[in-house]
Amino acid sequence: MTTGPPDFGFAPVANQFRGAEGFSLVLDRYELRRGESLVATVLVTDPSAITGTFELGLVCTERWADYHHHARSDMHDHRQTYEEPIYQWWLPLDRNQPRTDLTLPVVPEAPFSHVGSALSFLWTVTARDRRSGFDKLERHDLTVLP
Amino acid sequence: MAVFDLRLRAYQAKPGDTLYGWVGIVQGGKTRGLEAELRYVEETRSYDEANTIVTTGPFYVGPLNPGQAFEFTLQVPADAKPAQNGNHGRLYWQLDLKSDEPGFDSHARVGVEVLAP
Repeated sequence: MTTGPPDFGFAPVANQFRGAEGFSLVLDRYELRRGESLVATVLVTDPSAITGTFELGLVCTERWADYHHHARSDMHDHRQTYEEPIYQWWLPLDRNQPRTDLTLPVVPEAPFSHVGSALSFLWTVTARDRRSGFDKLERHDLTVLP
Repeated sequence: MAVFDLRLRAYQAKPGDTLYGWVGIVQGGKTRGLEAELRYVEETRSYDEANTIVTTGPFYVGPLNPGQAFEFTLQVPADAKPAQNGNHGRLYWQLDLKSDEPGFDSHARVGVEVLAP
């Protein structure tokens, strides 16, 4: 008989997953209008834990639904949701800087946030240690008002 | 199936504004309810959905005769967002005049531009 944590079948993904290690991300605001800026603060607590490309990104993702009709197959018709970055701006970070404050402007022409059922525009600010396999990242949602 | 001539006093509005509408009956019929809806449409290749809808409620029930006309008002929500285009869809405002009829309903639709606050 074996003992240990329960296995819900997510291995090996669960075994490799890591939250952000060695750094953290804080925003001075989580809601702003287009044309305004926010300040993202990245604090590095353990530079040795950051081994990949260290960067900060301001990203707007478009999420949309499409209907798939399968007239000539056994597959059921179904609704599928896709997503793709519509706007993204990545800035390099220095892992040897204990603290980095970066001002991120949201340009007036940028898309505003919208959470819908068929179409959404979702903003996030992400600090990540990008490497092969799993990135380590810390991500915050942002609301961009029109 | 009825046919309508649908007009607005202005096709551009700010959040919180009142829209003034006029509808003339071009081809008659009989309606179980004539109403106008202001809809914030999420359009993708496959879908037209609206999660924000402002309606007048039915303002007329009965026979529709050519030459008849009705007026109505609708308020643009105070938190209304403007239109927006993505790569795979768009958001926009539409005024949909709808006549509830046996079988297919009759519609007349016009676009409304809601300005950013």
